[in-house]
Amino acid sequence: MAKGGQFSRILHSNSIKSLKSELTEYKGALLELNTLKETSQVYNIKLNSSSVPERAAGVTFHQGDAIEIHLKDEYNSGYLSHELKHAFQFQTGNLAFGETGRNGAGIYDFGDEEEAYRRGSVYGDRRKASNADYPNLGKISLSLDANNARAQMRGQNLNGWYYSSGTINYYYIGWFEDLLSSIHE
Amino acid sequence: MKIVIQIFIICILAGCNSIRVANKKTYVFTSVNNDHSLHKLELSDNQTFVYKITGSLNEVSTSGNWRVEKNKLYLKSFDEYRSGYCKISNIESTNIIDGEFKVYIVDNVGTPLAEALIFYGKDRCTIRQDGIVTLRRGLDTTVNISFLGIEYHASLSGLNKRQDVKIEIVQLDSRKLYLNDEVWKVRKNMIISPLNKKLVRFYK
Repeated sequence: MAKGGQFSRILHSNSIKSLKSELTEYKGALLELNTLKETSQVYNIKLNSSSVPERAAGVTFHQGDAIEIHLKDEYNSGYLSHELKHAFQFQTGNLAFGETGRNGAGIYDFGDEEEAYRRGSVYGDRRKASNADYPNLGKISLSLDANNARAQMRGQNLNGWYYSSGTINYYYIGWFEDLLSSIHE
Repeated sequence: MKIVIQIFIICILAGCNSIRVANKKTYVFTSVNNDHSLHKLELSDNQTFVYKITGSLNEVSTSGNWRVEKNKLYLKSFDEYRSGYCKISNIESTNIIDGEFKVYIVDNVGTPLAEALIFYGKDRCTIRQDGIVTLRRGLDTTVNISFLGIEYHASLSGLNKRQDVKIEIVQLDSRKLYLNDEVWKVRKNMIISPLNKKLVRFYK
């Protein structure tokens, strides 16, 4: 009987932990939405999009000056919150897109996907980040402000600009201003 | 009759447990429908394969040669899919200063890798726009370069100490995957990657 009570207490304590963790995610989501709302960077959301790759539920990509957040089907809070997390990662210098603007590159790492799946899970998305789906992504957390990454991507963009007829290798928050100031230096 | 049926079933299972590609035929394996990334492996009769993973932000591919041994599938990528390593070599010095050497750091097309971080002995410095850095000899046996979160290690052993050094960085390309004789399990009409991704035979 005592053992049963102990088991029940553990269960109770685990559900409190789980609820607290969910609450942190909800609060985080609210703050992040406000950040995205207040920035001058344009974020477009589109439903029923044909731009979403086969099997994926949504996609976030760089197009023109905007970040596009597309879902394949109708509104789904789990999938949308996953993509909005990627948008916030871009806004805060934790995610960059490669040459085509369609794929993550440079400071894109496995942790970015873990964060996005964690966020989606509290809104009902049952998918999880697995190593098998992202065998090419590094496990070290990367950002614009660490290890000279911003200057390194700016340097690669400058090289692309001069030696590869204007190719932009990395789209990150503020890439255009960075390139412009480098060209004028 | 029962024995005949059992033999028949055993033959079917035995046949399915190995991959035999008929002439001019490509066998295609894909991840199951409820996966959120599409994994597609194509095995051609000329013993080459193409493997692609397509997700929302992530797209990666590789190609190479395949073989089957003892119900295991071996995948080895072509060299062009290797990335995330560096090569070091000597170059003629233009202006030798005693106790110092110059390091030229370039990418795989010879463009200076500006802003890379260099760790040598206790020194740490940043590469200039021209890709050159001057180091003191004898402080360490390797030059470590950090670029976009990846560490590249270049050993100085065996190099001519009267010459300068060129380090060519083949940057890690997240669009490429290099499989070095990776072993996959073969189970009936399914193959399973070392990371436990299950791909099933796709029939057109």
